Amino acid sequence: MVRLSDLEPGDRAHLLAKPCPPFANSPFVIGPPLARRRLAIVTTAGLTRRGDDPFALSSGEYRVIPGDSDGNALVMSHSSVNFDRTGYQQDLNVVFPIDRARELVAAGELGSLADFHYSFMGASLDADGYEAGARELAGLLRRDGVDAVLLSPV
Amino acid sequence: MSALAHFIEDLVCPVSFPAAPAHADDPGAALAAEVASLAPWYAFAQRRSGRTTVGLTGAPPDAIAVWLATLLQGGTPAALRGGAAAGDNLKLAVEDLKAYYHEAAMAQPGAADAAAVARWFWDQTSAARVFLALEALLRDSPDAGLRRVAREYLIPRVQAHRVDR
Repeated sequence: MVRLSDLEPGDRAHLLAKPCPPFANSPFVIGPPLARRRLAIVTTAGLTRRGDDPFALSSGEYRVIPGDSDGNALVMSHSSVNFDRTGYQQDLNVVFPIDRARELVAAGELGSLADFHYSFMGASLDADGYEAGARELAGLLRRDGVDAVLLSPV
Repeated sequence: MSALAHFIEDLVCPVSFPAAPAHADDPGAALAAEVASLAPWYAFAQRRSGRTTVGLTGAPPDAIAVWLATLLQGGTPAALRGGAAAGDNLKLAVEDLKAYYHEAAMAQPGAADAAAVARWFWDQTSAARVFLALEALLRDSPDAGLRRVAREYLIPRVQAHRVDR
């Protein structure tokens, strides 16, 4: 992940000006060890399946990524023009670390992976703009038996 | 690593630049020629990685180049992606073409890093010149979608100094 100190001053100021609302409580809990957890990846990289409709320039929607998707099945329609995409272009795992997660499962360090993963498009909206989609997604994750989520902010 | 390898490494340019375009007065033709010149490297990149991040429009890079050139000439090209508005088509076309350029550049010898690829793209390519010309042409477009993309989603903030106001 890029450090704020490494960004151009304009980009740094833009990100620091983003509202970051505090949680009203502390919902994080200690659960079972990773080896017994089922993990889903939720990224804001604006990933869609190739051929699906791209994200709109401003969108609080999410898209479904089937767990068996390979790298060439996904494309990025993130609307921001201000971040470097070369890492993602070389390796999908930079924004959606599915291969690393599969390796952890194979090594027995992670219990299992969800049947579905999800992508939002992390530009143009404040955090509140994603709340409806995030609440809907939480229900889907519970139905998939997910008890761990790896958030990949892009 | 041998001394010779060190010496050679020091001499390798991170990106092999295409020859200077022979169409200095025709940005569309220069773009088309440049896209064609990068095709072997793009194909190599695909073979090596088994994937491509090009594919938002569903159109091949040469068709995207023609589409952008038509727009730059004041035309109204048919949508690259059916059902998408003109502004959305512009955004998707630009991202697809940049991905094509980046993948081709990174496949070349020297393992260009992100900064080198960005410098090459914005300093050297006809594609960047077309993007900048489109920004100038469309930033006051009567089409709200084209206007929004031209102003907010075409030129990165760190490259804004290149925009001619």
